[in-house]
Amino acid sequence: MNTILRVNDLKTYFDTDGGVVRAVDGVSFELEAGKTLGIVGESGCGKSMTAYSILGLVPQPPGRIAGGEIYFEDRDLLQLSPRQIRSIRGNDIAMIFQEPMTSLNPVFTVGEQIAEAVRLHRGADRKDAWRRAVELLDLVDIPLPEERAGSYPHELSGGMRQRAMIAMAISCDPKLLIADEPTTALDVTIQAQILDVLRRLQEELGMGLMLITHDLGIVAEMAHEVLVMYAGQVVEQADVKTLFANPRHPYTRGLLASVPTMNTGTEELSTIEGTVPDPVRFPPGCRFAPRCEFAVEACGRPQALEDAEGRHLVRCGEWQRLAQLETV
Amino acid sequence: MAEANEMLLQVRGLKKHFPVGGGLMRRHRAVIEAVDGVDLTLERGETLGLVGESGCGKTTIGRAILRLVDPSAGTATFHTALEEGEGRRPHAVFDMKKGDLRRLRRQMQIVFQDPYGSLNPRMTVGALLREPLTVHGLSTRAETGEHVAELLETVGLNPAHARRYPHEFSGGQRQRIGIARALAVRPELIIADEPVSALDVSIQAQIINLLKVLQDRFRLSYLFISHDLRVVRHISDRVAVMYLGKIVETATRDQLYAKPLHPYTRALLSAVPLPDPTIGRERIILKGDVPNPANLPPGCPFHPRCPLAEARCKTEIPVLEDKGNGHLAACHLV
Repeated sequence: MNTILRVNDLKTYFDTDGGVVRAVDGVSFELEAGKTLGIVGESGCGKSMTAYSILGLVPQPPGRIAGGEIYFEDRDLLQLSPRQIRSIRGNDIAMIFQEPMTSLNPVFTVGEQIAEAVRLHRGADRKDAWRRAVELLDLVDIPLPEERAGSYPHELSGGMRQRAMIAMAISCDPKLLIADEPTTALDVTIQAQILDVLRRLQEELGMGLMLITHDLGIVAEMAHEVLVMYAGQVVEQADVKTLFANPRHPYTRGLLASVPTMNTGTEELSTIEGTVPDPVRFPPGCRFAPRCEFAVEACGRPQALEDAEGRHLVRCGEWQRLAQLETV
Repeated sequence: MAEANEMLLQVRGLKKHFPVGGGLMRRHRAVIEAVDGVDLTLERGETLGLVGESGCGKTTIGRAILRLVDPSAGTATFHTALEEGEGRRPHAVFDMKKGDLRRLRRQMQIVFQDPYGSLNPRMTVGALLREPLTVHGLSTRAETGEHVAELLETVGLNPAHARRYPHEFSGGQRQRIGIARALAVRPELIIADEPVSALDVSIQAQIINLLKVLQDRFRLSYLFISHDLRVVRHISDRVAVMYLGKIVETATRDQLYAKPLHPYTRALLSAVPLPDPTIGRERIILKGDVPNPANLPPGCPFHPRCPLAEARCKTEIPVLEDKGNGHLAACHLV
């Protein structure tokens, strides 16, 4: 097994007028080459901030890395100078975002932008860089890549722009690709195309893929390993089959039950009552306890991430009781 | 479902064309047929799900029915009573004059996708809910306070929330306020345009359940516009699938999800990611993008992306026809 990324007790805090927002609060995980890690959670759970922390993209101030380690291969990214980080970003670690329009420059053609990335990171000459750009557009299934390389971002559809963005991201054969809600802004048939491209590229290039999404369906289809986040913490982690077959944390269970499905009944959906706690004033104990139907007094104390059964981590002291409830 | 199938809304041949291009320097103008000959019916107490991808015209249909945009052609007949105590009779929505239209609008309300953008940030929730009551002259000053409190409770909020401003609420709560405002005038029809698309899943489920409860309680009809096939399945009695301004398939919910006929519907259904990693599915991945609506392909508008397309699909436009048991599809091949 070849671990390319190891995040250990990462803490990313924001100092605001209202107090300290603990956006990422003690997150740990590992990612192997060629595998997909799905990070799932609702708005504000800290999933995107975890990714930004890895890339050194947290706006400082008001943000700061308050603790932890991020080992990429054998270097702790948090100990590197901004210059060293820049050389890793784009070369070894690349990222794609939800809205490609904001990350593409509107006044250059997509071919020029990809070629520039190739020149900067690979030191190729102009002609080779352009040829490589066209190759990359072809690799992400853009029809007529020679022609499309001459298009400006606004001339492309949302799906085509996201493909161009992926082409740019993989231009330097990154070992790790971080995709933050890459298909959220796209229609479902286009989403299927983009996920297909990502899956294929990952296999061909052997990249590690960190896929951040709010959609459990996408996680189920794409990920090998899943991290469920709630209020800045990992509440459950397991391989994808275990997580969907035996979710142990009440939040994961609630989340799964509230997804409208395509194959079960259409009776009332289960819901998770209430809303996510104010990030400045997280409850001292389990952060999900105020919304949890199974909460007991012990949930008022902080919960550790325990190993439930063979590499299945759960941040709930009551998981055994809940598992029993189920079998009764 | 409606008892005795009482008709509420009938739309026939609805078209809405938008001119594009043109302007100061260019004279060339093209026309986008955002909605191109759509028929819809909605019974009392029923939910019709209208699904399709961005730009297919689903939002324009909702807006045309409400006369928020003026339709280019077609008719819409709304069966209702304009005045308290008056009998129900058909009204031609697109021919109505201002005064009648305002009275009709009391019967048809809209809930938008973005609860942030559709609530005036400077008005308290109480004022937001009183406004439609005053506009329609529905309750006296003395009654409105009570009415507002009741509305807030109906949608699962606290009556004390009436004194707060929209920014003090979460997305889900704001959508509840949007629903309360639509309910304030006791309408018969609510057009819900992507009402849960901006919400997190756990909140989405709360709003879907609320809409269902309200429907039973007030015998509401919904035109539920959404791109999310999972959500539509949970709330709709019947579903219409749109592609490039036309309805390509319509059937009862169970028919459509169990046996989709149109190749576009099939691709759409197969593209939805399912939260179950053990299902190995044969996925239909469509090639290419939706064509530019200003420059539609000849024949069936879906043929350039259709995995089944034949020669005739490139020349003959298929009509929406009954393929058995009231299941309508516009395709030569099914």
